[in-house]
Amino acid sequence: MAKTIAVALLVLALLVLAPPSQATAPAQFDSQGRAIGRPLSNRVVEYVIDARLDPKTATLDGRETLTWRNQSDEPQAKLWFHLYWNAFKNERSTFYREAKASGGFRRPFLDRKQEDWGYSDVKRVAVRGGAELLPTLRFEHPDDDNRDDRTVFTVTLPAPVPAGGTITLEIAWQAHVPRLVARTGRAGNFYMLGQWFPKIGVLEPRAPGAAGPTWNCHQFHAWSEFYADFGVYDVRLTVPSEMRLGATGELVDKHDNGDGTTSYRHHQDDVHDFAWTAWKDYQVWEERFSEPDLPEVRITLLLHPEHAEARQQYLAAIRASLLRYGRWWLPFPYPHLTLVDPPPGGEEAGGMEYPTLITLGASRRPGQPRDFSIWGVTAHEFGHNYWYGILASNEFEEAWLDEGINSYGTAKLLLQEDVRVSLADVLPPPWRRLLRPLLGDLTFDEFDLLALVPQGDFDTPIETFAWKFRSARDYGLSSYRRTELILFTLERLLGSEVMARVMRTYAERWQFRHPHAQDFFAVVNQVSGRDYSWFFDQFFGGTDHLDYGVESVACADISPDEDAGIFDDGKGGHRFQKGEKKGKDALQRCEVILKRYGGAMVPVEAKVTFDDGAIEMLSWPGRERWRRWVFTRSTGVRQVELDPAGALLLDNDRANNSHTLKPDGRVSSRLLGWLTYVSQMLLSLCSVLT
Amino acid sequence: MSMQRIGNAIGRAFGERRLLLGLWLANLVLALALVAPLAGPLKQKLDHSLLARDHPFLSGALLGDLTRLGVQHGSVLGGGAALVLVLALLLQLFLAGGVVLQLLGSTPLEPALFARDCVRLFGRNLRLFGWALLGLIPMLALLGAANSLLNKAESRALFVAPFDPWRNALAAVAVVALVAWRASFDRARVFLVMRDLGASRVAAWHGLRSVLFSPLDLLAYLILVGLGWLTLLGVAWLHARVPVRGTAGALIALAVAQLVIAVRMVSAVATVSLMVEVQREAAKSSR
Repeated sequence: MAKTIAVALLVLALLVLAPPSQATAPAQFDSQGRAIGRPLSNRVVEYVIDARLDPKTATLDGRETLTWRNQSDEPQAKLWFHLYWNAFKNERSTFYREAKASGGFRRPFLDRKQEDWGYSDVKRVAVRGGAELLPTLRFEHPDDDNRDDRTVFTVTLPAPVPAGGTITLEIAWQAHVPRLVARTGRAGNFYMLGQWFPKIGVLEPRAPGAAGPTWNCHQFHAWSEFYADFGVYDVRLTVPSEMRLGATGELVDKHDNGDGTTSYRHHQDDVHDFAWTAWKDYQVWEERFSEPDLPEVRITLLLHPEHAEARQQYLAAIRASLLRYGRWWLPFPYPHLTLVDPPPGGEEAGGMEYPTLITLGASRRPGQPRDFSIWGVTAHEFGHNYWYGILASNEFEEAWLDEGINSYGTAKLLLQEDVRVSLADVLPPPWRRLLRPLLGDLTFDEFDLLALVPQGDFDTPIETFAWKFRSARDYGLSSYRRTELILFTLERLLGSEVMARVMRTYAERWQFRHPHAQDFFAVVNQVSGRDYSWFFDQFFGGTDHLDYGVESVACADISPDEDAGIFDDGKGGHRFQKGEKKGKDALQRCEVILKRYGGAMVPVEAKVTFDDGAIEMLSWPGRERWRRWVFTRSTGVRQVELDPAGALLLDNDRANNSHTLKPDGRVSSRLLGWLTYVSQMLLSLCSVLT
Repeated sequence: MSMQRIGNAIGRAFGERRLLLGLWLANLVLALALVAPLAGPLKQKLDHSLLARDHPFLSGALLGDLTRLGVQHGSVLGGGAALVLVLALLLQLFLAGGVVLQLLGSTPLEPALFARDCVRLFGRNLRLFGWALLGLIPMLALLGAANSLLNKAESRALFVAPFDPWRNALAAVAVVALVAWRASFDRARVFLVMRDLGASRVAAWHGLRSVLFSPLDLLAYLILVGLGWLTLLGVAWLHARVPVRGTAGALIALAVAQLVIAVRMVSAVATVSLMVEVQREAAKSSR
């Protein structure tokens, strides 16, 4: 009996201690894009779309049948929809106003011609077999006072959808494809279409801070991305037959219509968006990713012919991403992935993520052996398939949950693969060969680049809705690099193994759901077994910067006999001491002062190294502005290193994180010599002009 | 003929050792003046810090740390650098008169005489520079317009290669145009001094016209400039190979750096020397 109990306990212990990745079976889909077994997501929506593209007029005619499930516990009579392309309709859209105010969104489009603007017109909305809803269509502007914005609309149902009930709508729309803007549209005959169909908003049954179910359906903003419910997409696309097409999900049917057009039907379960591309000049490359411990993934690379040199690097980068992310977080669950390499002129479409389809970007002559841009963009956009795709966070409201976590993941992959930025790679190949020797080993890895991230006090907390940041730069810095830096700091505080478990647990727990910031924080606290709220409050909810430093280190000889004056002799009398220094008996009295220069507070450690090699570690909660330590020893302090493990990557000034008692001018002299040379070159270049 | 001229110009430049020494000293003193204000803050910031001590020099990690440091003092550094660069431009204009007169003559450089010539011709050279700029501005405007047309034709997206064939072509045109302008400026300087002209406008016009109507001379000038830059790149490559692990290494690197600067000096003197010879022959043939 005791043996049985022991075995049972052992089995139980193994189950408890086993890594979560082994406890959860990977999701699987068949070759038709249908999930095997029970649905992986809650499938709130089911879209059946039939759309036809006419490149001659750049128009798109579409019909969709949308089945929506009310997963809240209250009836819903009003349904909210996105109509994203109306952001590109005129200068009065919120997108355009915000873009204009921030100096243009990646390209100014003030000089656009009439055909460059894009829009979507809803022609019909009806309950299947029931009431026409078009008369009830109202444009809404939940985020601002812009009555002219046409990117969100509502329709009112004759009878509400009961709690837990479903409704099927038939929608017809006509759209004019804009010139490429914000990663969607056309450039010549190249089409990359994202956010292209009327899409229902997200009814959140219990949004954080809300009393009841609320619709989350924001307008299209200049620097926000998207949020949608999981569901099933079955999409038929009809394009001229000479075009090659790539899309989200699995191609399940292809039919030549005999009129110069071909229809392609794609299907994918358990995704929350659908994007596609069409262009006649794509080179199509099919590959397979296969590893013993990971599900097989078929890869379709749609490549611009001029980017032939980039092909092998794209494929190597995606293989490395599938392998590492699959082992670190979750096996990539979908069986097919499409990589889109936009042609020159269509670069605006590059660097974007959609479920099972990502857009990339390369120059004609990529750097060798690993072009930072190709590897960085491929790893990053594919990483979004986890943090935006499988974990469908709300990019309108908590962009960092996708962009920041993904930037952290990308950086880890690039570090593992030793992908570095080389200054020479931005030059054309002949110059690259000529000038590379001059630049020597001057390359930058992700940590070097992170050191360039401006610190100081920030304008806005990271936990801010995307359009409420002060500027595009403020949004970008906070959502990407600042978050990445915070997560690397967190990794060093937790330890890399614990952080790896945090990421895996977060991914497994929230896959095919909508996580919020608090969910991520809860996973960190739970996995680490400690409460890191103080960390999250300051760095995700605050704007103070972090800067601790060693303010001073000073040592002086002391001796018990050194002090002059009259002292008690212990016998009731007095003894006079002249105060002479006795060299051999002298001690060193050293004073170390650590200081908090920034507003942010974290516990810090400091390593004090003495002249005899002894080491003493100091711990400081770091809440006061400064703190003094005094050591009286036979040897003095040689150096003090604050944060010796280098955990505080957020520290604004790393130069003051250490202090040696004796100066060492090697770094400054090398630097001054180099600066003199650079100055001499600059001055001699002046003679080119004068 | 052109190749012989190029050889003569290089030989003459190497022959002017005192002149080269003077120019190098001026360059070094100004560079030190530029860097000296940074020495105190840098030493204060770094000499007691372990930052960057273990990084190879020059590395991305070191630059990352130092860039962050530099950003904190960016406005002071930028302001100081701009001031010294303006002074450097003025110094070049100051020295130009003395350099041309020295190359027109055949005696070793006399510092006092050189300084007197520099002072005497400074005003004229300054005015000539003003006129020459009038030639440079429309050229830059044209290049700028071509560049903005290219920008307009492309979408300014994340992955636009900064150097496509059109941009390479534009860069090549810009280099040739700048060298041509510079050749005309040198020619005008020589003309100004040879004729002892007060009217710098006439000299500027003469320089421009001469270069435009003497393609072989311009070609020789281009070859000489190209040779100078190639040599400079070679020596700069040597400089980049010097291992810098401590102060001694830094000093060796700085010494090799002086070779780079010397090459640039020789190249600059040689181009003026070429224009002296060209202008002399033009004067002979016009007699």
